[in-house]
Amino acid sequence: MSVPGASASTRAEGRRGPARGLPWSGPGVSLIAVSAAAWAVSIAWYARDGGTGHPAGHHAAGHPVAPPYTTALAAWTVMAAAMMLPLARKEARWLAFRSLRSRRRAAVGVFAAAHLSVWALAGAVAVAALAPLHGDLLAAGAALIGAAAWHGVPARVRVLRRCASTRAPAIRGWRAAADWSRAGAVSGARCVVTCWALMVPMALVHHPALMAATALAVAAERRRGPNPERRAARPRDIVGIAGAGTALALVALAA
Amino acid sequence: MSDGDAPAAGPRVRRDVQSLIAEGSAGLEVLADYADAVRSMRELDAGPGAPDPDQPRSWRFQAAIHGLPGLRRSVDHPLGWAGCRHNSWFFLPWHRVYLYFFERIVQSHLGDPTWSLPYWDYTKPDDPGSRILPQPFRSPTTGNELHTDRRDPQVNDATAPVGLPWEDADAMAALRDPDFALAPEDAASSFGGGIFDDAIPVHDALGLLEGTPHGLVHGDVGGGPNGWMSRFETAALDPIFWLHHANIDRLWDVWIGVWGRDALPADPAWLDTEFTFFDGDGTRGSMTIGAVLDSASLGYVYESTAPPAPIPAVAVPEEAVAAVSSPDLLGAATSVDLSTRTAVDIGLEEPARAHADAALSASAGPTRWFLRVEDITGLNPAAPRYAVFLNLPAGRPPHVHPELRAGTIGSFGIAEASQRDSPSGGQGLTHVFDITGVVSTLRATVGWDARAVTVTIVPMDLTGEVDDGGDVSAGRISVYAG
Repeated sequence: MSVPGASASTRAEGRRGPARGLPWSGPGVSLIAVSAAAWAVSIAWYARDGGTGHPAGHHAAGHPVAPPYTTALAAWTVMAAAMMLPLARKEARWLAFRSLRSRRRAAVGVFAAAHLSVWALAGAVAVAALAPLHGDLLAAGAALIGAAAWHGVPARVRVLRRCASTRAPAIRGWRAAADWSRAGAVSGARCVVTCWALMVPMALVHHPALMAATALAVAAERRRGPNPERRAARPRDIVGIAGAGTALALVALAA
Repeated sequence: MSDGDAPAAGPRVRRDVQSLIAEGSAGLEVLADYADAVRSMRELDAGPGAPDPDQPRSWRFQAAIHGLPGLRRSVDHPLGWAGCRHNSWFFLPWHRVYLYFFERIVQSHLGDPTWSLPYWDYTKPDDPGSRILPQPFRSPTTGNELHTDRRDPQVNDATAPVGLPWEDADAMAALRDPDFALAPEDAASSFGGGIFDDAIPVHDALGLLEGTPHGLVHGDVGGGPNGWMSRFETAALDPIFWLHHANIDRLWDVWIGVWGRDALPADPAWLDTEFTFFDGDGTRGSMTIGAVLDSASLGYVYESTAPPAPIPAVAVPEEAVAAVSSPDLLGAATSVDLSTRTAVDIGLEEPARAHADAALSASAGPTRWFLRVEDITGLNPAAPRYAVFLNLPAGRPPHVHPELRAGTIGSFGIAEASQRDSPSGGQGLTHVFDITGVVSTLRATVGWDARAVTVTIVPMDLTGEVDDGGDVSAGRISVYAG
């Protein structure tokens, strides 16, 4: 078929072309910077005192001692920032482009703050509830095996698929801030529902290696690729998480 | 069957149903065969309700793949029921594979591997007759398998049918769009829908072709919530559904002919995505998108893939292409009720407006203006369509100012996207219209004051404005430029 006036190659020059992945600039990239800083803080904190909050020694009578509640909650929140903000970047970027150019940074900032607040709230409960088991490797391993089971639950998968469903915000005034905040809170809540089980072992053992492995497990599920509707809860991810949990439990038993 | 298991013989021709009818008895034989196959497929049905899972070659089973009442929309159903893909870059390829296997099932019922699915081409600008539902589908003769009462009575009238409104059938706005798919954050329009490439999609705008003519023709033929074509969950029960979608599939080939194969995504996330249906022998068949981009390789070509009208070239200097990015938001109104004619004022922001004006005056880049009607929800849309106008004078009937029409929102899909258990969690639909032409018209005529932009949305049926648009609302209406 011929089209008067232009060849196909001439026409193709006018295309935007679909974006490939998320660019390393523009709205939302600040979340990567915050996450990197949070990783650095988490690692440094662990290197100083093993994540106990007790520089002078974190074992009493051979057992790990739980850090003070506020310290543990702070550690949890920093850990959540390290692991979860990169996952929220796509939504933050979408929200920024649905906002006035002059308010994109504010939109991302409010969204991220609200998202992290939900994680902090979840941490407030988790840290208190799990304090008696702090440092218990066997419990952490069992929690990871439980997380593998939760990973494949259909209700979790349904929530996961809606993680990025965000309504277009108002563009001016307090209503804009309220909409950014609501988007962040909803995003954070969905994130907690889908990832809470994987974060329980983090509350028990503040170890950067465990953090890294968990972050990889979560990121693997969200990697872009063909058949996106089948990418949630893939058997190999579930097996990987269960395997890590089993290994951790075996280490605990051997010790 | 595997990806490479395409027929080796030369491609069959999927014919324009109007030319088949004009041809007389030989052409009508193709439609008579279709009716025979529909009857044969319906004979395999167990009755109303869920289809027999052991009869993938039955009519209701094939319809259930798109959706049936009582089936929750799902991408995980083991038999593929209620799994139709809409509102993303999967819309066109999923329906292409769906049609491909449906055609093979019809062939198997007829015992004729040369039978080809006709298409209903309502996009001819100078042929109002092409927008009338083809006669064999309107004839209420007893035993006519192609007829159903579950359509708009005016469209379906046996003797004095009302044709589809031209603006609902016009595919030119879609065909003019050079972008097949865009990243979700990009506010511009695209031909095929938003990119969906990971487990947590951002549900964003549907492609232009999916809106007009696809969705509007669904709504116009269905005529209301009880019309089969009006809902995902009943659409494929109507025999005209398959001819309508053959035309949508053909329009994809038209677009490829205009913009070239290189304009399609080269992303493995799209090309390697696979869809599974049931083949003519009742066994499962899967095909990747990469394997279905060329119709001829699937064994068919269309009688015509000429665009309905010439499409002007988009010649852009290479350096300007590199600078093309998502357009900027200039202004928006939120929580807009669409249950009746509604006009909302959108004052465009000063700094952003200055930015857009600078871009306009530079005239180096392809500055385009977009109107987005976002997060459209409503469980009971009462009108089949909602026409959207820019700066329509108050009280004026919409047909007086076609030059101010930004586009039309079809009711098809709104209810499905509004259900809380839908894949998008009830977020609704988003339509994007390229309003560059309307803005230019306003600049050249009555003037364009960016401080006073009014968007008017008018619920309409086939013949004009209606008072009741149902419970439909839009979360936001926004103007972008860039």
